[in-house]
Amino acid sequence: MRSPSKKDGSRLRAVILGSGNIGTDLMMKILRSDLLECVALVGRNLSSPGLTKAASMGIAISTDGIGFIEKNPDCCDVVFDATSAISHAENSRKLNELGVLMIDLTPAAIGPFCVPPVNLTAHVGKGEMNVNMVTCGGQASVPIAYALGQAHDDIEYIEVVSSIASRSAGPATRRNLDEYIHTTESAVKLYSGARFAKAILNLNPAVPCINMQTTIFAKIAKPNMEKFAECLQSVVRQVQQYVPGYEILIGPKIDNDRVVTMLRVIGRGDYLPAYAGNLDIINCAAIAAAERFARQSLQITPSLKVVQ
Amino acid sequence: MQQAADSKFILMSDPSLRDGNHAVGHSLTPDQIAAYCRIAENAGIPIVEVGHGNGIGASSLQLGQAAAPDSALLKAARENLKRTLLGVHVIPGFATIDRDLKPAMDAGVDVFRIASHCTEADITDRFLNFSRKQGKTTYGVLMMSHMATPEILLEEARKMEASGAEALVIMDSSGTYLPDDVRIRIGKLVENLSIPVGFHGHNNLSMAVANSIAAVEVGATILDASARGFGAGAGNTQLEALVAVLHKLGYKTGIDLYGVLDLGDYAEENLMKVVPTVSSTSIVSGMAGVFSGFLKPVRRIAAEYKIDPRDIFFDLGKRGVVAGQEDLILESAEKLAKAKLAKVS
Amino acid sequence: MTPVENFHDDCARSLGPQGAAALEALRQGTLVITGGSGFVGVWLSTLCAYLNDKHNFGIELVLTARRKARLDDSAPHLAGRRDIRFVAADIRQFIDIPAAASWIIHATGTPDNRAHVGNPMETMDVISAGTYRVLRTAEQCLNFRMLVNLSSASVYGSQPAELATLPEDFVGRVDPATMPSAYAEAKRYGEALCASARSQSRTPVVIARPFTFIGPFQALDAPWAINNFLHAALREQPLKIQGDGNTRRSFLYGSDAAFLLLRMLVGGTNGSVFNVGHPDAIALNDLAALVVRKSGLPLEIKTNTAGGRAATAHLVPHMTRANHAFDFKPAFSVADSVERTLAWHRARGKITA
Repeated sequence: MRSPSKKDGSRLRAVILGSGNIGTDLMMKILRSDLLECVALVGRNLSSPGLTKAASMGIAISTDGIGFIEKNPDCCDVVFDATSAISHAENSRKLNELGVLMIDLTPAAIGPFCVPPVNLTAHVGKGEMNVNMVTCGGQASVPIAYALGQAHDDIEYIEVVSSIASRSAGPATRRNLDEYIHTTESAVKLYSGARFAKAILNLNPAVPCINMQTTIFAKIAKPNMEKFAECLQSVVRQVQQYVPGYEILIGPKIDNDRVVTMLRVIGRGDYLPAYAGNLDIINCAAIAAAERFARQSLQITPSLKVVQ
Repeated sequence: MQQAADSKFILMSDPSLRDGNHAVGHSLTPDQIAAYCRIAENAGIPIVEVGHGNGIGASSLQLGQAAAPDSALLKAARENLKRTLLGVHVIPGFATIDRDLKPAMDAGVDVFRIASHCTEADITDRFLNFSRKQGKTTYGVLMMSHMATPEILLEEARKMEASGAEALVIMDSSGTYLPDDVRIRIGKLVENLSIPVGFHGHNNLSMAVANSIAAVEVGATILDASARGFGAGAGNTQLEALVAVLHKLGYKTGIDLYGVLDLGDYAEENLMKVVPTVSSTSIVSGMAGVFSGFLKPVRRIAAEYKIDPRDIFFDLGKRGVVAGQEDLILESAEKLAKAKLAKVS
Repeated sequence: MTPVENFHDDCARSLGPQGAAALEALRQGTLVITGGSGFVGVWLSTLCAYLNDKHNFGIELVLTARRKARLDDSAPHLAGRRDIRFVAADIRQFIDIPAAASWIIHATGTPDNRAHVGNPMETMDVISAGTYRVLRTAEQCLNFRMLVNLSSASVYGSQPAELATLPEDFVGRVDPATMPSAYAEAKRYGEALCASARSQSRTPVVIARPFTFIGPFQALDAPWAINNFLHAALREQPLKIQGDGNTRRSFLYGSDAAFLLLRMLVGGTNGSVFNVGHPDAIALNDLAALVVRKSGLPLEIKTNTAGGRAATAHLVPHMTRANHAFDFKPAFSVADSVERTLAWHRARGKITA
């Protein structure tokens, strides 16, 4: 992480790439943060709702894409990439050269997965320059899978079933269902140690819109429900620090020979409606990650320059 | 798929070995598949559909674990079908292209029916394109089609047509329709699409055959029906009965009557545990508009929580649950059980 | 290493002996092409490059599109040319037009129906906001001569059975309240915007209504009949026809389309509307047979007659107006076009899809 040369010296400066729903919601969250400052929202279409909102709030906007940062290399310390997997690959390459931290919300998954309660500390400690926020289902289920892994040595299989409101799934989500499934499965397996994992996504068109709901099933030979409940409580508390609307609805319990945990995520409603908890949780996780990196880097006093 | 220029020809697609899996907890074995396919081939069934009840790649704790992997079932079918085509049902979100679609192509599947909930057609775009580009016969399927107006149904069908679907099938997944409902929807699709239109019926309100005939009367040329009605809940449209009625009305199916009757007998004796009937819970799920495949888990969970399964169905119906949301059955049961307790105390 | 094909033969053939002379007004001019990386954009650029190379026209081309990579991939013969400047921009933000530009051909937008039904709001926004932006930027030009707006045959709605061809004065009906009408409605809106700009800003505009094109640079992705047939032939799969195969279409080759558009640009009367397509119709049955013949392979043709009633609508342009105004006759028959296109895809070794 480069030495922050900040204007007021107390915040990490952030640029958001991508002015769609995710990017705009991120902007609203950054504006609420004590540790982050929103330098600019960068999109493609000047008349998009996101850029229009940003402009109306006095936030700098640009349609220059990655060029905005290339032209002002010193303008920010962290970039949130909410564009697309294709764009991200190029964005990441260019920004790493400039020593800027990249938080990737696309399915590109160039950098390691980041699920805050599980591995954020480790990433910050290692000075990672590109972290990937997995998927919305991943952010919801990996903490549970992690708790399962902490309580059990031998997990045969974990299955994650998420239902989200149809309205919260835009064209990008719908085009990338396969990526969503494969990425979520990878993350769940990785952080639980389960031998196999499966992810399922349901889009529900019911109105009023349903909140994001995720059920985690686990096939475990010798379930240790007490230990799991303990680990679960701990990890859920950690998630609730950055996602207040994250709540265990049912369980953990054993139903039909599997360990079942059902949770719901109600979004903060910063920009996206509260039912879009799926989009909110990935954004909240991204902000949590950035704030952690901010806490780390802002401890560096100005006299201690980090040599590039 | 070569279809005769004859306007009285109806293409029959038999989902016994797929939809029927719902009735037996997805436990159909390769041997059962093989034997059924041999008889179906002899009877001249045009398409036989094989796989987990929710399609390839759907075997899961949520939807039920299959006794045998997709590959084994498809292999058994492929080895025993020559002129009859082998079809699969595919739901994006359960299946993926790399993990499920490609292996199915390698296994020699002929017909790929890509399905979504009736308002979410755009999730099938990539799958439809992929299948079409590989030269496979590709259908688009809209499930739980009663949950959309005829106009919305047409729009969603148009999306699938634009993505390259070569036929469009709407499903009455909960057996909710009456013949006029079918006429309006199928009629609208036939008027406005350039691809063939098909109907998949369920028998919850004992209307499956009548509904299928209504579909054909307004221009549908593809019908799904199962042997002895083998399928979820009250079962699918009964194949033998439908074929008999179609022949009586002067339609051609290419299916041999005695052959398909034998198929029904075989299915009854060897595939199903009970012959599907229009039971009380089936009627309720039909009225509530809840996916027929929920019957087994609803019954099980209702027994566990000591509540009336019919109440669960009406509750799920009110919530507008879609196929794949079996986990909500548990939630519904908990809610109703708590309410019951509150009433008592 | 095989030399990059420059399509000079195609261009020469479409121009014919009098073509270059008919386009004299373009000499030393600056032509802006929006949607520069699409089929029409690439063919226009190819034809202008030919005029520059063979006839010293000295045309300066400015191409705009969202991504340069797409242009590089499909048109390597245009790479590195000093007479082509590429401007990466979303058409809705397009403001970077040289004051010296006298000519604009507005060809932005994808005719791919899947994008129209999958993302109709974006489709309508790009067409409406994009067309508006282009019309406004034309006002900045010093000596602006003509803008050609590529509308679409979809503005006619469905071709009625009693009409063998669609003439420009046919006013079609599209139900605006249904989503599949989004593209057609947006294109109609674009035409109305052009008429407004003509009236209010005195911007000279000619409207082109493209029918069906064929040729190199066309991705075979969208499931139209011609794409499906070509794709099947290239993949050595059976050709599939929906409907009874009597449905008629016509296919205009890329360089012919480019030539006609340039004729409209320099010679079209302000406010005129022209169909852009091949006058000769061909039934899909015959087209499939033609593709099989040209492929040189014994491919099967499968017909599915069980389709819905919408399958029978023809789509054939009435080309009398363009014929009278410009003495326009396509140089490429559909047979020639199929042959050329198959050869191009085969030479690339990969199917652009």
